[in-house]
Amino acid sequence: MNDKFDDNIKKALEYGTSHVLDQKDQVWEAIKVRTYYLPKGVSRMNKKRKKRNPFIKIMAASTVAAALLLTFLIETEPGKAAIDKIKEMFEPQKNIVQELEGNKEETQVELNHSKMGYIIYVDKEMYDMVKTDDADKIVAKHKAEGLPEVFMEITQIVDKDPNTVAADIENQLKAEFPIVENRGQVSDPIKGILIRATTGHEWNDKVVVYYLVDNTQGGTFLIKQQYFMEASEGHGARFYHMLKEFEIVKE
Amino acid sequence: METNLLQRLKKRDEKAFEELYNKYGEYALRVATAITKNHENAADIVQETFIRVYHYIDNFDINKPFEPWFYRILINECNRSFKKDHKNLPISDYMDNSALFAKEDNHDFVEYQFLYEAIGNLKDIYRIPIILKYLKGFKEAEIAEILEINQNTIKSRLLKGRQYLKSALNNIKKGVL
Repeated sequence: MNDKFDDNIKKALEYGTSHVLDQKDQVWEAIKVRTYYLPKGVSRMNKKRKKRNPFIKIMAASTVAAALLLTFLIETEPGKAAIDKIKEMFEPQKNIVQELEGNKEETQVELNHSKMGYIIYVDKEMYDMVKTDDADKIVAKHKAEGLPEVFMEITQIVDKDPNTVAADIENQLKAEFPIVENRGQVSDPIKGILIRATTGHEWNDKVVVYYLVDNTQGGTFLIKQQYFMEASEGHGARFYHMLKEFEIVKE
Repeated sequence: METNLLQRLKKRDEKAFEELYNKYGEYALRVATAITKNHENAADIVQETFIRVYHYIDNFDINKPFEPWFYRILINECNRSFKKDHKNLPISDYMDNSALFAKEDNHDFVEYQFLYEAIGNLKDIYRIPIILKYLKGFKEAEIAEILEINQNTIKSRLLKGRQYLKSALNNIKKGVL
Protein backbone atom coordinates (compact mmCIF):
# COMPACT_ATOMS: atom_id res chain seq x y z
CA MET A 1 0.00 0.00 0.00
CA ASN A 2 1.13 3.46 -0.80
CA ASP A 3 0.47 5.32 2.46
CA LYS A 4 1.39 8.68 0.97
CA PHE A 5 -1.14 8.25 -1.82
CA ASP A 6 -3.83 7.17 0.66
CA ASP A 7 -3.04 10.16 2.78
CA ASN A 8 -3.34 12.41 -0.27
CA ILE A 9 -6.76 11.01 -1.14
CA LYS A 10 -7.93 11.83 2.37
CA LYS A 11 -6.45 15.33 2.23
CA ALA A 12 -7.88 15.98 -1.23
CA LEU A 13 -11.36 15.07 0.02
CA GLU A 14 -10.92 17.25 3.08
CA TYR A 15 -9.73 20.20 1.02
CA GLY A 16 -12.43 19.74 -1.55
CA THR A 17 -15.20 19.76 1.01
CA SER A 18 -13.90 22.25 3.56
CA HIS A 19 -15.92 25.18 2.21
CA VAL A 20 -19.21 23.51 3.16
CA LEU A 21 -18.47 23.90 6.84
CA ASP A 22 -19.67 27.49 6.56
CA GLN A 23 -23.13 26.00 6.09
CA LYS A 24 -23.09 23.97 9.28
CA ASP A 25 -24.90 26.52 11.48
CA GLN A 26 -27.39 27.38 8.79
CA VAL A 27 -28.28 23.73 8.26
CA TRP A 28 -28.75 23.26 11.99
CA GLU A 29 -31.13 26.22 12.14
CA ALA A 30 -33.21 24.67 9.36
CA ILE A 31 -33.25 21.28 11.09
CA LYS A 32 -34.21 22.84 14.40
CA VAL A 33 -37.10 24.76 12.91
CA ARG A 34 -38.40 21.69 11.11
CA THR A 35 -38.24 19.35 14.09
CA TYR A 36 -39.11 21.76 16.86
CA TYR A 37 -42.86 22.01 16.60
CA LEU A 38 -43.60 18.43 15.60
CA PRO A 39 -44.71 16.42 18.62
CA LYS A 40 -42.85 13.30 19.65
CA GLY A 41 -43.18 10.38 17.27
CA VAL A 42 -44.73 12.37 14.46
CA SER A 43 -42.85 12.72 11.23
CA ARG A 44 -43.48 14.80 8.18
CA MET A 45 -42.79 11.72 6.09
CA ASN A 46 -45.32 9.39 7.69
CA LYS A 47 -48.06 11.96 8.16
CA LYS A 48 -48.09 12.63 4.43
CA ARG A 49 -48.90 9.03 3.80
CA LYS A 50 -51.98 9.21 5.98
CA LYS A 51 -55.34 9.08 4.26
CA ARG A 52 -57.41 12.18 4.60
CA ASN A 53 -60.50 11.61 6.66
CA PRO A 54 -63.07 14.39 6.37
CA PHE A 55 -64.87 13.35 9.53
CA ILE A 56 -63.08 14.93 12.36
CA LYS A 57 -63.83 14.38 15.95
CA ILE A 58 -62.59 17.59 17.37
CA MET A 59 -65.72 19.34 18.54
CA ALA A 60 -65.54 18.13 22.12
CA ALA A 61 -61.85 18.88 22.27
CA SER A 62 -62.37 22.41 20.95
CA THR A 63 -65.05 23.14 23.50
CA VAL A 64 -62.94 21.98 26.40
CA ALA A 65 -59.95 23.91 25.02
CA ALA A 66 -62.00 27.09 24.89
CA ALA A 67 -63.19 26.53 28.45
CA LEU A 68 -59.62 25.96 29.56
CA LEU A 69 -58.49 29.10 27.93
CA LEU A 70 -61.24 31.12 29.56
CA THR A 71 -60.14 29.86 32.95
CA PHE A 72 -56.85 31.56 32.34
CA LEU A 73 -58.08 34.68 30.71
CA ILE A 74 -58.13 36.99 33.65
CA GLU A 75 -58.02 40.70 33.54
CA THR A 76 -54.84 42.03 32.05
CA GLU A 77 -53.02 45.17 33.01
CA PRO A 78 -53.49 47.79 30.34
CA GLY A 79 -50.18 48.61 28.67
CA LYS A 80 -49.30 52.24 28.97
CA ALA A 81 -46.10 52.43 26.96
CA ALA A 82 -46.12 55.34 24.59
CA ILE A 83 -46.77 54.08 21.09
CA ASP A 84 -44.59 56.72 19.53
CA LYS A 85 -41.67 55.64 21.65
CA ILE A 86 -42.21 52.04 20.63
CA LYS A 87 -42.26 53.03 17.01
CA GLU A 88 -38.97 54.80 17.50
CA MET A 89 -37.44 51.71 19.09
CA PHE A 90 -38.69 49.13 16.61
CA GLU A 91 -38.97 49.19 12.84
CA PRO A 92 -42.63 49.34 11.82
CA GLN A 93 -42.03 46.73 9.13
CA LYS A 94 -39.25 44.33 8.33
CA ASN A 95 -38.44 41.29 6.25
CA ILE A 96 -37.65 38.00 7.87
CA VAL A 97 -36.51 34.76 6.24
CA GLN A 98 -38.58 31.76 7.25
CA GLU A 99 -37.88 28.08 6.67
CA LEU A 100 -41.22 26.68 5.55
CA GLU A 101 -41.57 23.01 4.62
CA GLY A 102 -37.90 22.88 3.83
CA ASN A 103 -37.85 26.03 1.68
CA LYS A 104 -36.69 29.50 2.56
CA GLU A 105 -39.26 32.22 2.21
CA GLU A 106 -38.81 35.93 2.73
CA THR A 107 -41.81 37.46 4.47
CA GLN A 108 -42.69 41.02 5.37
CA VAL A 109 -43.90 41.36 8.95
CA GLU A 110 -45.47 44.33 10.72
CA LEU A 111 -44.87 45.65 14.18
CA ASN A 112 -47.69 45.16 16.61
CA HIS A 113 -47.60 46.80 20.01
CA SER A 114 -49.90 45.40 22.67
CA LYS A 115 -51.30 47.24 25.65
CA MET A 116 -50.23 44.18 27.65
CA GLY A 117 -46.67 45.41 27.31
CA TYR A 118 -45.04 43.46 24.53
CA ILE A 119 -44.36 43.81 20.84
CA ILE A 120 -44.55 41.17 18.14
CA TYR A 121 -44.11 41.24 14.39
CA VAL A 122 -47.08 39.76 12.54
CA ASP A 123 -47.24 38.28 9.05
CA LYS A 124 -50.24 40.35 7.90
CA GLU A 125 -50.49 38.58 4.58
CA MET A 126 -51.41 35.33 6.28
CA TYR A 127 -52.97 36.44 9.56
CA ASP A 128 -55.31 38.98 11.11
CA MET A 129 -54.66 40.46 14.51
CA VAL A 130 -57.88 40.45 16.53
CA LYS A 131 -57.68 42.35 19.81
CA THR A 132 -60.14 42.07 22.68
CA ASP A 133 -59.90 43.42 26.22
CA ASP A 134 -58.16 40.31 27.47
CA ALA A 135 -56.42 38.79 24.50
CA ASP A 136 -54.54 39.40 21.29
CA LYS A 137 -55.36 36.71 18.77
CA ILE A 138 -53.41 36.23 15.57
CA VAL A 139 -55.84 34.29 13.39
CA ALA A 140 -55.17 32.58 10.05
CA LYS A 141 -56.97 34.34 7.22
CA HIS A 142 -57.64 31.13 5.35
CA LYS A 143 -59.96 28.89 7.27
CA ALA A 144 -60.40 25.26 6.32
CA GLU A 145 -63.79 23.74 6.93
CA GLY A 146 -63.83 20.88 9.41
CA LEU A 147 -60.32 21.51 10.68
CA PRO A 148 -59.20 23.00 13.98
CA GLU A 149 -59.06 26.78 13.99
CA VAL A 150 -55.53 28.05 13.43
CA PHE A 151 -54.39 30.86 15.69
CA MET A 152 -51.85 32.15 18.16
CA GLU A 153 -53.35 33.86 21.17
CA ILE A 154 -51.50 35.92 23.74
CA THR A 155 -52.99 36.66 27.14
CA GLN A 156 -51.53 37.64 30.44
CA ILE A 157 -51.95 36.23 33.93
CA VAL A 158 -50.76 38.95 36.24
CA ASP A 159 -50.69 37.08 39.55
CA LYS A 160 -49.20 33.68 38.75
CA ASP A 161 -45.65 32.86 37.76
CA PRO A 162 -44.93 30.52 34.80
CA ASN A 163 -44.24 27.47 36.99
CA THR A 164 -47.60 27.75 38.72
CA VAL A 165 -49.40 28.29 35.45
CA ALA A 166 -47.50 25.37 33.85
CA ALA A 167 -48.74 22.90 36.44
CA ASP A 168 -52.34 24.01 35.93
CA ILE A 169 -52.13 23.92 32.15
CA GLU A 170 -50.47 20.53 32.07
CA ASN A 171 -53.11 18.97 34.32
CA GLN A 172 -55.94 20.41 32.32
CA LEU A 173 -54.43 19.37 29.01
CA LYS A 174 -54.00 15.82 30.31
CA ALA A 175 -57.70 15.69 30.94
CA GLU A 176 -58.42 16.61 27.36
CA PHE A 177 -55.60 15.34 25.15
CA PRO A 178 -54.18 11.82 24.96
CA ILE A 179 -50.69 13.14 24.21
CA VAL A 180 -49.25 15.87 26.41
CA GLU A 181 -45.58 16.82 26.65
CA ASN A 182 -44.17 19.29 29.12
CA ARG A 183 -40.80 20.14 27.65
CA GLY A 184 -39.88 22.41 30.53
CA GLN A 185 -37.81 25.52 30.05
CA VAL A 186 -36.80 26.31 26.48
CA SER A 187 -34.93 29.25 25.04
CA ASP A 188 -36.00 29.01 21.43
CA PRO A 189 -38.01 30.61 19.86
CA ILE A 190 -38.64 32.34 23.17
CA LYS A 191 -37.51 31.89 26.75
CA GLY A 192 -40.28 30.15 28.65
CA ILE A 193 -41.93 26.86 29.56
CA LEU A 194 -43.17 24.83 26.61
CA ILE A 195 -46.12 22.46 26.86
CA ARG A 196 -47.65 20.83 23.83
CA ALA A 197 -50.54 18.50 23.33
CA THR A 198 -52.15 16.73 20.43
CA THR A 199 -55.21 14.62 19.86
CA GLY A 200 -53.21 12.10 17.83
CA HIS A 201 -50.90 11.58 14.90
CA GLU A 202 -53.29 11.87 11.97
CA TRP A 203 -52.83 14.71 9.50
CA ASN A 204 -55.91 16.52 10.86
CA ASP A 205 -55.31 16.01 14.58
CA LYS A 206 -55.32 19.13 16.68
CA VAL A 207 -52.02 20.44 18.01
CA VAL A 208 -51.91 22.92 20.89
CA VAL A 209 -48.66 24.52 21.97
CA TYR A 210 -48.32 26.72 25.03
CA TYR A 211 -45.40 28.96 25.86
CA LEU A 212 -45.45 30.40 29.38
CA VAL A 213 -43.26 33.45 29.52
CA ASP A 214 -42.28 35.37 32.63
CA ASN A 215 -43.74 38.87 32.30
CA THR A 216 -40.96 40.17 34.62
CA GLN A 217 -43.57 41.48 37.08
CA GLY A 218 -44.52 38.27 38.83
CA GLY A 219 -47.00 37.22 36.17
CA THR A 220 -47.04 35.19 32.99
CA PHE A 221 -47.62 35.79 29.32
CA LEU A 222 -49.67 32.82 28.19
CA ILE A 223 -49.09 32.18 24.51
CA LYS A 224 -51.25 29.53 22.96
CA GLN A 225 -50.80 28.25 19.43
CA GLN A 226 -53.32 25.99 17.80
CA TYR A 227 -53.19 24.30 14.42
CA PHE A 228 -53.60 20.82 12.99
CA MET A 229 -50.90 18.26 12.45
CA GLU A 230 -50.36 18.79 8.74
CA ALA A 231 -50.00 22.53 9.31
CA SER A 232 -47.05 21.98 11.65
CA GLU A 233 -44.50 22.98 9.06
CA GLY A 234 -46.63 25.81 7.69
CA HIS A 235 -48.53 27.64 10.41
CA GLY A 236 -46.40 26.04 13.11
CA ALA A 237 -43.27 27.41 11.44
CA ARG A 238 -44.81 30.84 10.92
CA PHE A 239 -45.85 31.07 14.58
CA TYR A 240 -42.36 29.97 15.56
CA HIS A 241 -40.81 32.78 13.53
CA MET A 242 -43.30 35.36 14.81
CA LEU A 243 -42.54 34.35 18.38
CA LYS A 244 -38.85 34.85 17.78
CA GLU A 245 -39.68 38.54 17.43
CA PHE A 246 -41.70 38.70 20.68
CA GLU A 247 -40.29 41.22 23.14
CA ILE A 248 -41.53 42.53 26.45
CA VAL A 249 -41.58 46.31 26.41
CA LYS A 250 -40.98 48.00 29.70
CA GLU A 251 -42.59 51.36 30.21
CA MET B 1 -21.26 7.87 26.09
CA GLU B 2 -22.85 7.60 22.63
CA THR B 3 -25.41 5.14 24.03
CA ASN B 4 -26.37 7.71 26.62
CA LEU B 5 -26.70 10.37 23.93
CA LEU B 6 -28.92 8.12 21.82
CA GLN B 7 -31.05 7.15 24.80
CA ARG B 8 -31.61 10.84 25.48
CA LEU B 9 -32.46 11.38 21.84
CA LYS B 10 -35.04 8.60 22.01
CA LYS B 11 -36.69 10.64 24.76
CA ARG B 12 -36.67 13.63 22.39
CA ASP B 13 -34.13 15.53 24.44
CA GLU B 14 -33.45 18.57 22.27
CA LYS B 15 -29.98 19.12 23.74
CA ALA B 16 -29.09 15.56 22.79
CA PHE B 17 -30.21 16.22 19.23
CA GLU B 18 -28.02 19.30 19.06
CA GLU B 19 -25.08 17.35 20.50
CA LEU B 20 -25.64 14.67 17.87
CA TYR B 21 -25.62 17.30 15.14
CA ASN B 22 -22.43 18.84 16.51
CA LYS B 23 -20.84 15.42 16.51
CA TYR B 24 -21.92 14.20 13.08
CA GLY B 25 -23.01 17.29 11.15
CA GLU B 26 -19.62 18.33 9.83
CA TYR B 27 -18.67 15.03 8.24
CA ALA B 28 -22.20 14.47 7.03
CA LEU B 29 -21.90 17.74 5.11
CA ARG B 30 -18.48 16.82 3.77
CA VAL B 31 -19.55 13.35 2.65
CA ALA B 32 -22.77 14.62 1.04
CA THR B 33 -20.82 17.33 -0.77
CA ALA B 34 -18.20 14.91 -2.06
CA ILE B 35 -20.91 12.54 -3.28
CA THR B 36 -23.25 15.06 -4.88
CA LYS B 37 -20.59 17.61 -5.93
CA ASN B 38 -23.11 20.28 -5.05
CA HIS B 39 -23.01 22.02 -1.70
CA GLU B 40 -26.63 23.21 -1.86
CA ASN B 41 -27.92 19.71 -2.43
CA ALA B 42 -25.58 18.51 0.30
CA ALA B 43 -27.10 20.95 2.80
CA ASP B 44 -30.61 19.71 1.94
CA ILE B 45 -29.50 16.09 2.19
CA VAL B 46 -27.96 16.60 5.62
CA GLN B 47 -31.07 18.43 6.76
CA GLU B 48 -33.31 15.56 5.64
CA THR B 49 -30.96 12.99 7.13
CA PHE B 50 -31.05 14.53 10.60
CA ILE B 51 -34.79 14.99 10.45
CA ARG B 52 -35.17 11.31 9.58
CA VAL B 53 -32.87 10.37 12.43
CA TYR B 54 -34.99 12.48 14.78
CA HIS B 55 -38.21 10.86 13.66
CA TYR B 56 -37.00 7.28 13.32
CA ILE B 57 -34.58 7.03 16.23
CA ASP B 58 -37.09 4.78 17.99
CA ASN B 59 -36.50 2.19 15.25
CA PHE B 60 -32.77 2.20 15.85
CA ASP B 61 -31.33 -0.61 18.00
CA ILE B 62 -29.21 1.18 20.55
CA ASN B 63 -26.92 -1.85 20.92
CA LYS B 64 -25.73 -1.48 17.34
CA PRO B 65 -23.21 1.08 16.08
CA PHE B 66 -24.92 4.32 15.16
CA GLU B 67 -22.73 5.57 12.33
CA PRO B 68 -23.47 2.87 9.73
CA TRP B 69 -27.21 3.42 10.31
CA PHE B 70 -26.77 7.17 10.07
CA TYR B 71 -24.73 7.00 6.87
CA ARG B 72 -27.13 4.55 5.28
CA ILE B 73 -29.82 7.20 5.71
CA LEU B 74 -27.45 9.84 4.31
CA ILE B 75 -26.60 7.72 1.25
CA ASN B 76 -30.30 7.03 0.65
CA GLU B 77 -30.93 10.77 0.75
CA CYS B 78 -28.06 11.30 -1.73
CA ASN B 79 -29.66 8.75 -4.05
CA ARG B 80 -33.01 10.48 -3.68
CA SER B 81 -31.34 13.76 -4.59
CA PHE B 82 -29.64 12.19 -7.64
CA LYS B 83 -32.97 10.94 -8.89
CA LYS B 84 -34.60 14.31 -8.35
CA ASP B 85 -31.89 16.41 -9.91
CA HIS B 86 -29.34 15.17 -12.39
CA LYS B 87 -27.88 18.59 -12.99
CA ASN B 88 -24.74 18.35 -10.94
CA LEU B 89 -22.31 21.21 -10.98
CA PRO B 90 -19.39 20.24 -13.24
CA ILE B 91 -16.38 19.48 -11.15
CA SER B 92 -14.22 22.09 -12.90
CA ASP B 93 -16.76 24.81 -12.08
CA TYR B 94 -16.93 23.55 -8.57
CA MET B 95 -13.18 23.86 -8.18
CA ASP B 96 -13.27 27.42 -9.48
CA ASN B 97 -15.89 28.27 -6.91
CA SER B 98 -13.92 26.98 -3.98
CA ALA B 99 -12.47 29.86 -2.00
CA LEU B 100 -9.94 27.59 -0.41
CA PHE B 101 -8.60 26.32 -3.68
CA ALA B 102 -8.42 29.82 -5.07
CA LYS B 103 -6.28 31.02 -2.22
CA GLU B 104 -3.74 28.23 -2.02
CA ASP B 105 -0.97 27.86 -4.48
CA ASN B 106 1.57 25.18 -3.82
CA HIS B 107 2.49 21.78 -5.09
CA ASP B 108 0.43 19.84 -2.54
CA PHE B 109 -2.59 21.91 -3.31
CA VAL B 110 -2.27 21.19 -7.05
CA GLU B 111 -2.01 17.51 -6.26
CA TYR B 112 -5.13 17.66 -4.07
CA GLN B 113 -6.98 19.60 -6.72
CA PHE B 114 -6.23 17.03 -9.40
CA LEU B 115 -6.97 14.20 -7.03
CA TYR B 116 -10.28 15.68 -5.97
CA GLU B 117 -11.17 16.16 -9.60
CA ALA B 118 -10.22 12.57 -10.33
CA ILE B 119 -12.35 11.32 -7.44
CA GLY B 120 -15.26 13.35 -8.77
CA ASN B 121 -14.88 11.71 -12.15
CA LEU B 122 -14.94 8.15 -10.82
CA LYS B 123 -18.07 6.09 -11.36
CA ASP B 124 -20.37 6.11 -8.33
CA ILE B 125 -19.67 2.47 -7.56
CA TYR B 126 -16.02 3.35 -6.92
CA ARG B 127 -16.42 6.94 -5.80
CA ILE B 128 -18.84 6.41 -2.92
CA PRO B 129 -16.82 3.66 -1.19
CA ILE B 130 -13.68 5.79 -1.67
CA ILE B 131 -15.38 8.78 -0.03
CA LEU B 132 -16.67 6.69 2.87
CA LYS B 133 -13.28 5.10 3.42
CA TYR B 134 -10.97 8.05 3.03
CA LEU B 135 -13.08 10.98 4.11
CA LYS B 136 -15.00 9.33 6.93
CA GLY B 137 -12.58 6.55 7.79
CA PHE B 138 -15.05 3.68 7.60
CA LYS B 139 -13.73 0.12 7.47
CA GLU B 140 -14.66 -2.15 4.56
CA ALA B 141 -17.17 -4.06 6.68
CA GLU B 142 -18.88 -0.82 7.68
CA ILE B 143 -19.01 0.43 4.09
CA ALA B 144 -20.51 -2.91 3.10
CA GLU B 145 -23.18 -2.47 5.77
CA ILE B 146 -23.94 1.14 4.80
CA LEU B 147 -24.21 0.39 1.09
CA GLU B 148 -25.76 -3.04 1.69
CA ILE B 149 -23.23 -4.65 -0.60
CA ASN B 150 -21.03 -7.70 -0.04
CA GLN B 151 -17.77 -6.86 1.73
CA ASN B 152 -15.61 -8.55 -0.92
CA THR B 153 -17.27 -6.42 -3.57
CA ILE B 154 -16.47 -3.31 -1.55
CA LYS B 155 -12.88 -4.45 -1.17
CA SER B 156 -12.56 -4.96 -4.88
CA ARG B 157 -14.21 -1.61 -5.70
CA LEU B 158 -11.92 0.24 -3.31
CA LEU B 159 -8.91 -1.39 -4.89
CA LYS B 160 -10.05 -0.63 -8.42
CA GLY B 161 -11.12 2.88 -7.50
CA ARG B 162 -7.72 3.55 -6.05
CA GLN B 163 -6.02 2.18 -9.17
CA TYR B 164 -8.21 4.36 -11.40
CA LEU B 165 -7.34 7.35 -9.28
CA LYS B 166 -3.63 6.73 -9.59
CA SER B 167 -3.85 6.30 -13.28
CA ALA B 168 -6.17 9.30 -13.74
CA LEU B 169 -3.88 11.45 -11.64
CA ASN B 170 -0.88 10.46 -13.75
CA ASN B 171 -2.78 11.22 -16.93
CA ILE B 172 -3.91 14.60 -15.66
CA LYS B 173 -0.40 15.47 -14.58
CA LYS B 174 1.06 14.42 -17.92
CA GLY B 175 -1.47 16.49 -19.77
CA VAL B 176 -1.16 19.60 -17.66
CA LEU B 177 2.26 19.80 -16.07
